[in-house]
Amino acid sequence: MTKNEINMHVIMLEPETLKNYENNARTHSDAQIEQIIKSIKDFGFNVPVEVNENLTILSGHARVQAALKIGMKQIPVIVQKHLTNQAKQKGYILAANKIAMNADWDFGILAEELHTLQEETDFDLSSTGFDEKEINEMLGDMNFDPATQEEQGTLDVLEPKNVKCPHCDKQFNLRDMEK
Amino acid sequence: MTLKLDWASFQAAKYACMNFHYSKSVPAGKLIKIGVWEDNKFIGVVLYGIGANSTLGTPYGLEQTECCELVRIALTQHATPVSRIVAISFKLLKSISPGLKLIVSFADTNQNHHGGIYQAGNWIYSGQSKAADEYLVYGERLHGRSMRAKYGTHVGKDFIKIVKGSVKHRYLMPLCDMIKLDIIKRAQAYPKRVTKANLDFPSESGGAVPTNALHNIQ
Repeated sequence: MTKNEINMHVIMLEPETLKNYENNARTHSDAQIEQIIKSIKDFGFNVPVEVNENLTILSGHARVQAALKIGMKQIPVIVQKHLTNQAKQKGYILAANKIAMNADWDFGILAEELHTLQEETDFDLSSTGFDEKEINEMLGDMNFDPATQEEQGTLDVLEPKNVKCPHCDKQFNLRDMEK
Repeated sequence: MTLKLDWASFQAAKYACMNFHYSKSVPAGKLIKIGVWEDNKFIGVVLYGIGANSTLGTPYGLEQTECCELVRIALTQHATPVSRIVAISFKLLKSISPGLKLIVSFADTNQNHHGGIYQAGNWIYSGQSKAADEYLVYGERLHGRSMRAKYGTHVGKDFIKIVKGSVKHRYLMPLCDMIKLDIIKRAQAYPKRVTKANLDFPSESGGAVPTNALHNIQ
C-alpha cells in the first residue's frame, strides 16, 4: 500500500471531535446550512471532511455544522497527514474553496438538465441548491414581458465617475478631466 | 404574424445572450436592451452599448456620447428578417438617446461573418478594423474590457496570455444627415461572404453578428 492510499483512508468520527480552523475565511449563512442539511438527507453525507492530524478542519466546515445541527453521530473524515507544513495547510483551506468557485456554468446544458429532472422525474429541484427564482429563470418561467424605459438608461449622457482624493477628501468627477 | 419591439429587462437580455448567441456572454458596460416579440412570444434582443473603447466615435469627429455600438443581436428562430428588426430598433434607440449620431457595428471574420445583415440594411461599410490584442484568461478568450469586467484587475499575470484578436468588418449607420454626408465618403465596397468557416475561437467581444440559428437560415 502506498503512502497516498494510506492518506486517503476514510474514517468515521463524531463531528464534535473536529475543530474549526480559527481563521476560516469562508462564511456560511443559515440558509446555506439548511441547503446542506437537505442535501445530506436527500443524497447522504457523501464527501468526507478533510482534517489535519490535530483534527482541525481543512475543508468541510459547513458540512460539519450541518451534521451537528441534525445530530449526526458520525461523519466520514479523511486525515490529510501529508499536509504537515502549516503554510500548505493555510493555502489548502483557501484553495479548496476558491478553486471550486472559479468554475462557470454552461447555462444551456444546465437548463436542459433541470428541465429533464422536472419533466421526467419526481425529483425535488430545490435539492440541487438552486433557489426557486434561479430555477424559474432557467426553466423559462421568467418574465419576458416588456420592461420600462427607466431600466434602460441612456447612451448619450455619460454618468459621472466620482472619486475622492485620499489625501484631502475632496470629491471630483473624473469626466471633467477627460474633456 | 405580429412583430413588436419594446424595452427588454436585463434578465431577458441575459437569457437571450446565454441561449441564443454563440458567445454565451453579455457585453460589459451600460446597455440599451431592445426586446423582440413575434406573436407575443419573446424571441430575443438587440443590444446597444458604448462599445469596447471610449474612442469609438473619434475617427468620425464624434464624442463618446454621440456614437454607440450595436453589440449583440441575440435571436432565436424568427420569421422577420434581421435587417428589419435592427432597422426598427433604431427608432427606439433614438427615442431614448436622441443625442446619438452614429451606430458602429462589427462582423467578426473569425466567425466567418461578413456582415450580411448590415448589407441588407444598407449600412455603410468602412473597411476592416485592426486586430486588437485579446486575452486568453484561464483558457477563455476575452476582450480587455470584458476581462476587466469579469475579473477586475486581480487576474495573476501568469494566467493571462495575450493573443492576436481577429480582424472585424466595420459597418456604420448614420442617425443624422450631417454625419451621413461625412461618412459616406468613407464607404467601401461590401465584402463578400467567406466560404470557409473557422469556428475554433468564437470571439467574445464578437459584436452583433447574427446568432448561429440565423446563420443557418440567411
